[in-house]
Amino acid sequence: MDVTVGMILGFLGIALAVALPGVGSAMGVGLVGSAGSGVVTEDPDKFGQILLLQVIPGTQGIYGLLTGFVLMMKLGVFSGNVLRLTTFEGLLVIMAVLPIAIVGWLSAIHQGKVAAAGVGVVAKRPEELGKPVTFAAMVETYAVLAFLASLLLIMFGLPLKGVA
Amino acid sequence: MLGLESKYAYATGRVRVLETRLLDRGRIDRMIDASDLESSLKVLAEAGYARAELSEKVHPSIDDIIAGEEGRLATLVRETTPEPRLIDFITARWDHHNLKTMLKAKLHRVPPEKAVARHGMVDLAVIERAIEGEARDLPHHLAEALRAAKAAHDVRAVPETIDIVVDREMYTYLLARAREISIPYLEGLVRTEIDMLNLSAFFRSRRMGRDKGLVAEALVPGGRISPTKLVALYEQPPEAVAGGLAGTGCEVVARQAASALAEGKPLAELERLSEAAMWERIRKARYVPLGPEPLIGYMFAKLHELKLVRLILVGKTSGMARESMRERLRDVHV
Repeated sequence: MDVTVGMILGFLGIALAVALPGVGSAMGVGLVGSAGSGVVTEDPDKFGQILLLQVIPGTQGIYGLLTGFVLMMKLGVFSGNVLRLTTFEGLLVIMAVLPIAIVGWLSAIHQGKVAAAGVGVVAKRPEELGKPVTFAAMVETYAVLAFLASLLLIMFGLPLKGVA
Repeated sequence: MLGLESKYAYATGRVRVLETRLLDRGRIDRMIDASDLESSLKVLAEAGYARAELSEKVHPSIDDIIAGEEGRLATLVRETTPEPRLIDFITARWDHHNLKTMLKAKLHRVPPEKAVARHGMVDLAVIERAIEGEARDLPHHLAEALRAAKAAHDVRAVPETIDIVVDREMYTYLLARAREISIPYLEGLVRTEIDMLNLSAFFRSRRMGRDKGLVAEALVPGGRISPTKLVALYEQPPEAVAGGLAGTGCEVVARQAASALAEGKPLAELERLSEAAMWERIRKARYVPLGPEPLIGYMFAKLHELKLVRLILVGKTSGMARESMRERLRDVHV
């Protein structure tokens, strides 16, 4: 199979969509996990509440993976007949994944910081769990918007035909 | 991208739980109001002071209780900090305290206080040998403090000289350490401690009518207030002192101290004002969600709490009046 520059760019787009939000989520979840381990060392009963905070920054990684899957379908990866994209089509694919790649990556880190700060709230006032969860969820808004933007661009904004 | 926030996340989590166990105003009041030492110890046991629990009606000694908590604090810092030099900000105080105690004991032929700190980094035998003249094993900063204290004592042979010189050397060392570690909050705390120490020496000496030269020797450089400025203000009227310290961040404490002493209040008022000013600084760590500040703030808060606990327990043992104790600890809480 002849590989075109466009195909390389298309696969780079998939990699960016999956990897960057994944890295951000790993950092965010890791941060909350470290702070949570500190709390659980002193007060093991708080494990359940902290786990809830820890999963929140993990969603960006899922959005990235979903974006990657949709793109793989669009490029024919699952059918075994990968579209031979032109260079411009490849560039369009990269443009389409940039919202979730960038916003997913950075928002997961910031959400991790907010959730880790929330661990402190749980340590002192476990009955107030809803408040730190809400604060962390606010960051999620922008990851969801970026996910939607990338998804819509891929589904409706990429007239991919490839070359013969 | 996360830097110190990530490195200190575990420590922050642990500290957030431990902060809830620090003695709050309510517990301090209960300790003061307790009818006897035993009841005060019960409050400490409730707050998690392991060695404060009574067993077979035997009272644990105050030194044992304090040493137990000091040991736990040192262990916490060692287990959680990614910056090993941070432990110095606790142990250096104990090492310098031991140096002072043992040097005074040697030079003034009094038995060493029972309350030598037990969790210092330097073995007591090493300090003892150094005082005898064999300082090879003593860390450089302690050897320097010992040399300076001996030299000053040769000129003015009173125990207070040793306290002044060793304290000055200790704060100089801690400030240099804080600057090396480069955490602004830590450096700020040490500088505040230096300022409060200097203000305390300044007002104490004024009250006692001491010579200006003696004050100059007791002042530690490195704080927000320059020792030269303090010496220049030494003979000025009280209202001029606060004015002269404008812009240092200490003018409010200076004004309060000057007016309290002018009204004839006891010198203990100075300690109370200094501690209140330190608490203000320490408490700022509560508003930092992640980073080294919560751990550092907890270290300083716990050290201050232990001072209060000692004060209350000694007061209880010696039958100190509740009102005096309450007045002394009026604004001090965690």
